[in-house]
Amino acid sequence: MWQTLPELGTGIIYAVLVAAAYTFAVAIAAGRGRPRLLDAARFGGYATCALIGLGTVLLAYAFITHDFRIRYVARYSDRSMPTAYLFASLWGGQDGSLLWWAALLAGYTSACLRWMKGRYRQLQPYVIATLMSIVAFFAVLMLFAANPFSTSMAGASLDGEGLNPLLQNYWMAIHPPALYLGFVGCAVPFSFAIAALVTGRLDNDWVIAVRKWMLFAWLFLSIGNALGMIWAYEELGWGGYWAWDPVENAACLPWFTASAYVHSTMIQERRNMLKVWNVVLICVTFLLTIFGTFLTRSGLIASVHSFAQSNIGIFFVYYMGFVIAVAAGLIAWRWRELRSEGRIEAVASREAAFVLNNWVLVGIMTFVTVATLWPKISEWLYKESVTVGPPFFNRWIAPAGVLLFLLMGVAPLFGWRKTSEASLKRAFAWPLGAAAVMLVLHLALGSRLGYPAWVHTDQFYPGVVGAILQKLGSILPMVVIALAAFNTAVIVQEFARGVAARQRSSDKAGDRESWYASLIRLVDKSRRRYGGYIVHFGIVLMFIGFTGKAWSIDKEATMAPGDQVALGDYTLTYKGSRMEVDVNKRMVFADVEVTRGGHSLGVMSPAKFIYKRSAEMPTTEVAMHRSFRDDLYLVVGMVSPESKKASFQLHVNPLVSWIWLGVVVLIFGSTVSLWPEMALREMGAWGYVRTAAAGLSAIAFAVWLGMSPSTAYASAREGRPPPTHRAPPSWGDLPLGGAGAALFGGMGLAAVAIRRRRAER
Amino acid sequence: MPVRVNDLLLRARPFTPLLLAAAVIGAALTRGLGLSLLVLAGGMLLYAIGSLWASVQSLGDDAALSLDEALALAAPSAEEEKKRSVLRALKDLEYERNVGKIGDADYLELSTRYREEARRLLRELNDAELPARARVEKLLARRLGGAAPPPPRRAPPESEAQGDDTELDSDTETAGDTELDSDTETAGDTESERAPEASGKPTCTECDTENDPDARFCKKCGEALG
Repeated sequence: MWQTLPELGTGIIYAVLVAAAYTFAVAIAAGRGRPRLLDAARFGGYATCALIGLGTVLLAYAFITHDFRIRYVARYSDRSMPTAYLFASLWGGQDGSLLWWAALLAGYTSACLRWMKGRYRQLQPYVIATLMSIVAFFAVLMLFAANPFSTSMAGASLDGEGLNPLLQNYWMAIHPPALYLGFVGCAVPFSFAIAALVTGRLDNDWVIAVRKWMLFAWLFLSIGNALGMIWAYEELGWGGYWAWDPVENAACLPWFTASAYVHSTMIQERRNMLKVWNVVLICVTFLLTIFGTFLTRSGLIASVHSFAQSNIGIFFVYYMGFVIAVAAGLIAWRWRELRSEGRIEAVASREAAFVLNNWVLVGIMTFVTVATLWPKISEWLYKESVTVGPPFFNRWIAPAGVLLFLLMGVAPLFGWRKTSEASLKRAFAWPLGAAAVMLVLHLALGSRLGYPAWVHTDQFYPGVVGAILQKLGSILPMVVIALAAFNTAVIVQEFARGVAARQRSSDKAGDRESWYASLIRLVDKSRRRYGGYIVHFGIVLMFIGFTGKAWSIDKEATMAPGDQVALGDYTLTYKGSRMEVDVNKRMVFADVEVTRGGHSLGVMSPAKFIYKRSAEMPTTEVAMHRSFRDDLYLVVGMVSPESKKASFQLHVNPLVSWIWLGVVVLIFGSTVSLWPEMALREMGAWGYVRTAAAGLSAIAFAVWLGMSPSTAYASAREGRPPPTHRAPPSWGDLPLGGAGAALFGGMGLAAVAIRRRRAER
Repeated sequence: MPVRVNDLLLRARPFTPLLLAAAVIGAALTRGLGLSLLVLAGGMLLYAIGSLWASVQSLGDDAALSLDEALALAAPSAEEEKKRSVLRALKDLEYERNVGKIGDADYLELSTRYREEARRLLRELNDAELPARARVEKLLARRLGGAAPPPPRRAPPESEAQGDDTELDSDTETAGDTELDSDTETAGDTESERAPEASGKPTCTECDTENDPDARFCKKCGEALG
């Protein structure tokens, strides 16, 4: 019916390039003394964004109508795929993911244009020009290296190849968009930084302007990485959630620098210090998002989940070189204006703690970058191929992470500029007491509860360094648990002090507040500060979860039906295997009865799925029994059809659920920080950005809660028939309650906004 | 006639996203997802063309900037920036003293230093505005046809700077964000908890407001202090 769709799609990308170039030129002219042209640039920006949206919708249409003339559609979809996964295919492969990136950038650009209306008029032209230059880069990339609308030389096939079964998982469907939202979001702060450097408007205005944008990007970087962890944990079946794979590393690198910026920006706002540092952090964060994309797309480093090797890597290399040259040149040009006006007055001050925290975060980022690239560096320098695996990262990153954890707790105890000895003693008393009590309890009861304070670790390297790392590895779990108590006490103390101050204030006014009214008003008045503390609490929970790895139990066993094996507190009895078939695949289940302390927990059924389209790559379907104490994680390797013998990988992963809980708390805390601070009437377009940000976070939160699979396969109790099988999580599992709540929440927000807008008029 | 069409289009503009959404949903419900995507694509194409048209039309717009637009182009001076930073520092100090993160001696030392700095900056800013104010007064006088009002007073020396405290307080209230507002609120309370005699802070006999130790006039009602 639609004979020219591929040509139209390609034409639209050309149009995007032309519109972006036009807008860039007009914006630069507006910045060079013709402010009236700003409106033309703004409209040009909107037009470019609409064209990108049009291209994305056309590709979605091609997927929905199975237009297999388009190579990308034929490669990443087939006729049997459900509609939701057809949409997910938009970002399932390389070419489409570039268009998806551009689409998200268009969304950010439109929001930014709307928000900037009538403000930052001096910065606006260069913000628009920078955003358009990024759009133009992606348009060039698509046109000359990875066109999602290019057609197959052989003509249209009858059916497509289908999306990789591993990617047909709802976590994977929402993980890339969330991560991309984080990655692409860093483009807006970068554009403001470039605009500030070009115009010389290096006052705090631009820093305040990008505050929420960066926090929004940081939130989605966190959510994206967490979703990736969940996907790896549930779908890949190797027993863990983070393997320090190059692509995983690439995804978390900008998170480190964005976290550093979120803290160091406070120093600039308050003390007019660290101007160069902040500009550099923003530029590096943006650069790392491009670097991460380059690492994923270029095939430079072997990774389990990089896209197919292609020739687009060189485009990224040139672009990164261009970005570095422009940013470094501008910083050098503005060096005098960027010099610090303040200085750190005392070591015992919050700014000193923040600077230290920044060093550690940037240090970890540098370490991970170098270690990730080390196989290539070693190949270039020493002609030697080496592999840098998870044990190496875990040995070195763990102590640095614990140092960061300590700084996270200590920094809020200091005041800005200077903290007296008496204040410090008062501030540290309770948290240190809590840490000491936790340490004693851990030493006394840890072994009995299955979490010994002292764990045995192997020496990874010979020599003194190896011995030190080994000793550190042995005591780290104990240190982290004590620091978790310390951090929690700090957060509680900060809230308590704030509440006490409010109550004193209300007492004086003769209108005493209840403590919970004080608490709510305190958070309401200082969302950024107390939202940040809630985020810190989420990180505490996540650290506890990470530490659980120290007490994990891993075992491999080959069992015949009726065999039993003990795994920690669990006793597993292999009952036998069975096969089921549907239109797409054969499913081989191995039923294992699980008891704990004599109580039956039901039958767990790890499985192998053999898809017809990729029979040579059977997928692993993990069976899990989750609890806050630990996860029992069963993977079946092979099942003999004759003898019914099966080989298993069995894991007990303590405290993993604390990580997911921590992520939920982190999202909540970020949402509190992002929530609009002013009345809707006052905040104008800013409010829509923040409301959208908060709304999206709330929706992510609702979806997260609703979709969290709680019982996996362990649902049958004694006396009930064992479950036949449970299909891998799919879009059908999306609980209507969660989706409905999110929908109604969004409608409510929209209704409030519209009513306020009317009232304003 | 064309003017009316334009007016109509302008009036309909806010509703176009709603109309498009309705068309997309309608197409999805009646003819399937494929057609609804085409309708959405059509809407986006029209929006892109409209925006480009508006952009090209704006290219020839040489109208003068409005006052708001011109003001938005102005950058704050270095002193203005420093003033904001110092006022923010004072707010932080108040908050930290309130929640017990800084001792009284350190608070007094830092607070005095920042207040002096703020006063100096306010005076500099005030002096920098004098020529402009004089010009405004002259223009006003000419416009009103009356005698020129007396020229604006130079900022008094530090010891007489009664107005500075008031300005400092009003700036402190407006400069910050909500977070700072809460800080100010709680900080002020703690400050006033302390006995005025002990802290050496004069209290206004007229309105009972506690003022800063170096104030000569009340920051609330302007009454001369002691």
